[in-house]
Amino acid sequence: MGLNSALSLALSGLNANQRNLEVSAANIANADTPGYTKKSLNQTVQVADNRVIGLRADEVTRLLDESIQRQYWSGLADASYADTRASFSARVDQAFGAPGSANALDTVLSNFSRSLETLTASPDSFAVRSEALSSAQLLASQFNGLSNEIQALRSDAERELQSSVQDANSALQQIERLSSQIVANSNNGVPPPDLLDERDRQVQVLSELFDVTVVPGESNTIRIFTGSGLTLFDRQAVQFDFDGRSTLTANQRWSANDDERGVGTLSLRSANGSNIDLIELDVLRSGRIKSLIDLRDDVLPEAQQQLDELAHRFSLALSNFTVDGTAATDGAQNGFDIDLGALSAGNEVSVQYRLTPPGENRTVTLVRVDDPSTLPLANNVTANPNDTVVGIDFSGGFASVATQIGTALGGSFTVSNTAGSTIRILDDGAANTIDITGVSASVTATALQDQSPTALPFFIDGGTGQPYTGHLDGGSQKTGFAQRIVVNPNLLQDNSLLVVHSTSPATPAGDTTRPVALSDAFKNGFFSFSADGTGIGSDGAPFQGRIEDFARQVITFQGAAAQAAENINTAQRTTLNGLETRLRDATKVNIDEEVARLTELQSAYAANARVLQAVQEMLNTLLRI
Amino acid sequence: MVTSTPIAGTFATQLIRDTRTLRSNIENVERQLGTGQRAETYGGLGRDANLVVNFQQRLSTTNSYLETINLLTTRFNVIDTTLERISGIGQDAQGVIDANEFTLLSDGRTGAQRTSENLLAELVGLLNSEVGGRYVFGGSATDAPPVRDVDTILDGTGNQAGLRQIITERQQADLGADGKGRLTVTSPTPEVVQIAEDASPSPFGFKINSISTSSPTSTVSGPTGIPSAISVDFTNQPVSGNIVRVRLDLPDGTTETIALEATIAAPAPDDGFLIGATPADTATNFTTALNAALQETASTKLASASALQAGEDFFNTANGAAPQRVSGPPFNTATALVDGTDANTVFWYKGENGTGSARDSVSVRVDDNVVVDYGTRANEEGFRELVQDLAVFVSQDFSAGSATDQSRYDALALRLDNRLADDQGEGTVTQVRIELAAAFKTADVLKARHTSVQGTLLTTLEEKKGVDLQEAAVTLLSLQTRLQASFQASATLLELRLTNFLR
Repeated sequence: MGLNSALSLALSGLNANQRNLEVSAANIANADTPGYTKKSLNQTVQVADNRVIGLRADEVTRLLDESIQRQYWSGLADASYADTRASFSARVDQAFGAPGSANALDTVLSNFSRSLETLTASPDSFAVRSEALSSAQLLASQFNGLSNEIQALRSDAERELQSSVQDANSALQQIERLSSQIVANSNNGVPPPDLLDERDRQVQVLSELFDVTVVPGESNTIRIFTGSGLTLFDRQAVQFDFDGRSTLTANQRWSANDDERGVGTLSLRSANGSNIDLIELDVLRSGRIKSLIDLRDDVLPEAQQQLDELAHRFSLALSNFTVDGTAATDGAQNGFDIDLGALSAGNEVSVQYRLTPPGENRTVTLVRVDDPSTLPLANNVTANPNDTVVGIDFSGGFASVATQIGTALGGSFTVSNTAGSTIRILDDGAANTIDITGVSASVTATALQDQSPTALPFFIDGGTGQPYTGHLDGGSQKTGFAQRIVVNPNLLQDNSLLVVHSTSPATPAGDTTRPVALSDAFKNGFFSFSADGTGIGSDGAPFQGRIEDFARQVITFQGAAAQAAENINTAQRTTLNGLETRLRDATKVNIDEEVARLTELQSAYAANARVLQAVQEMLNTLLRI
Repeated sequence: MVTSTPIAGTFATQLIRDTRTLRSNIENVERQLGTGQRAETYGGLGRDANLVVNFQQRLSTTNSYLETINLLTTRFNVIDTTLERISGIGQDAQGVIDANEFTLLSDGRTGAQRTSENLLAELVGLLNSEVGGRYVFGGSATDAPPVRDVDTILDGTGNQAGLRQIITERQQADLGADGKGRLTVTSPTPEVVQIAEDASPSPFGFKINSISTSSPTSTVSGPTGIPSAISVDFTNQPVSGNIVRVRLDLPDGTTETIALEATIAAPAPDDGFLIGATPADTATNFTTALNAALQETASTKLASASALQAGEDFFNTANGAAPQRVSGPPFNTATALVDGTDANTVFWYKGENGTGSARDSVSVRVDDNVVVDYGTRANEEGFRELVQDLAVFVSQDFSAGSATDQSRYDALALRLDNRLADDQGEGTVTQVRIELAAAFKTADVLKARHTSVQGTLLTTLEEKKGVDLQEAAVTLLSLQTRLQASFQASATLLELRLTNFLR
């Protein structure tokens, strides 16, 4: 061991000190940089012939607990799912208005009910009638406004999907680029830590958007899968496609069939060129994109369908009247005649009979359709779980209608078209296995006067300007009806039509028949509400109640949904905060440590310099000799 | 719009997030304090939302019932006051119309008739009364006065005949061409006198009720046959003092008796007949006396009864009936009534005139299952009879010169007094008042209940929707303290850096 070796040892120490200083400086400078992990320098002692000959500063490595990082990424997907859901739900909840405020849905409904009640007391007052109509207009515009808000939220979701997909694509491309750089710049299998940090940051961006699983591969590569196992990145990144639409309406829904699809779908173009529809395969489980898809396709349409069902029942309650069959006999056969001339598309005819054996009451509901391609109808077209629904095509005239009804009811019935639009339905006479107990039709009044003393087309479908009948031709008229419902403009022109239901003999101005019937239908009418797509009740046990009861269900349903989404969001955020704290604790730069280390390095540097100085002095001493 | 999910950040970002949460809590409590409301959305009300919506709906319903009842109270008060006066008019008329006061004024009418005309005008005015633009005595036709004015009712307008013309026609039909009340007096054999109605069926003139005699010898028979007929057989002569009584039914339902006493002292008085030498003479005398008596009764009592019945025909249009008038001309041989039409007859009542009860014509709901019926029509029996009686009385003309006019006036006044006195039982004004008061009582009881329900609902809603100010204030204070403490702690923590000590 000579002075030379001491000199080189001191030099390598100085060198190592400088490298350490660099790392510390970088740590301190980046202490607040998001995603920065603490770096440290690996040092090895160089030994030769059992003697320490120097100190080598090796590669810089980062301090990271990968299992916490994975948990954090998975938590991030869930938190971002919950956060997106909560913020959209809160907007729906807000759209329903502050409790008791003038524009809350229930207040507007109550005001309408109240104005009908006032109308029954003063049907002759122009002011009262006009107030009833203006409260009806407010109600219609409240329906429109809520629907527009829901559709605006869907459009927002569509746009956010578009930009989120762009984010995902850009993150995946970054990952691809960084991954190849990492492989290229690896030094003896040790990757450059800053590139790893950068890649993790991109993975983090991705894990906010989807639920991703990151699997480390050989030589610092990674592979990224969705939670369900679909490969997103394996040396090469896949490309997402999203064909977003600009503005959505209630009729625009997602469908696996591209021709019927009214909204954008998320598809994946893999490196080998195959194209997969991710929504159809239901690949995603969490993350913002999944949340937006759920909102756009399930949560918000459900809210829309609740409003549509409410508007549907509400409109029909005021516009429909019952046509009862009249008893008819032919020999031993008994049954009913019913005139179906006024039946509109979507109107229902109910045939009730008793089947013996087994001695059970049955109901068959016949629904008018004008477009044969609509047939056959699903059994949940009516909210009644105990009936059999059969669509009858009226486009071929009443003889054909009679034949179709005969086929629908079965061979025991005799169905004929006796005259004009009258259909006769008879039982099996002497065989006595069936006994028809009633035939009635619920018909939508299409005229404001001289059709029904009680019902009138109070609200109409603003899309077509026609009375609302709930027809099913070319897609259900109910879909998006809340967005289109308007007060009949003819009624607005002449508000006396709220009272004067007949021109000959002329209805007296103070006649309460119609106002009382309207008020009764609204306040006391008991209906079954379709569970199809509304999430309230079920097909087997639909929600039954008055219009106001269903409105209450809708309001509280949305309120509770918003509250639940917020609660889940809070819980997810708390979890994520915990994970974040743990991740930060494991990776963060502790300034104190770094400063202490700086002090240490400073003195070590000084010591090494002192060694150099000492060697120099010793060499000088030697030279002076 | 979506708050970006915080990415793994620094201590400072966490600190900012925590204080942001605290701050938003504080803002929420401040809003609660400011508005007094617990939440801005139904979601914010949590599990109370359903109850709040339900209570708000019930509150709205209750309020609407209360409004209706208040409106009803106003209307009822006006109607009741009106009915009270209408009853008063009935009593006034009864006091004014006096059979013994036949003093004609210069216009050929009695003072009672003049007063009655004023009462009639007042009555028509009352029946046309309105509450807030609503005519209350027209059933459900509330937009126009239900009763025509007095002049139109009495004298008609254009081609529409009024009461006076209807009465004239009816009197012609009732009295017949010879003024004997549509009866024919004949002698099938010289000893027998037969009295027969001139046609059957016919609503006009006298209707034979019965015949009797106190003579043990003369025989009476009938009524028999169609048209109905009676006869007196004088084959066995009566003795002086024997009386033949012919009872006749008048169109207004009253019955008159013509009593003729046999006498031997010539000349026979008005109500007697001379017993002749032969049964045939007696029969001739009896016929003469009978004809005179029939003409006398017809021109007084039958004429009055006829006027009253014409009034009934004209005014009784309840439940959609048309006024009845004599099928003619000629009227004095008419045998049937026909419906008047809008083209030829005044319809005095123009309101709603459905087949249902007048009360049901206007109804209003004052509770979920309670409907109050409070409709009134001017042609309901009680009002109609009062209008009718006054109008008939006013419409008759009398002259001082006529021998029978005082008797006719007496007969009319007596009949009207009897009718006006009948203010009890079904259909009278008093009865209508009682019915309306009962309906209103129901509404009044419900008002008390609705008011109490309203109070309960408001209190509960306030509890569920509102915020306890004291609690909110305490929460605010504690949140502020926490925020301050949190800032303090962060400041202290950030101070504790080695860099601060290595100087």
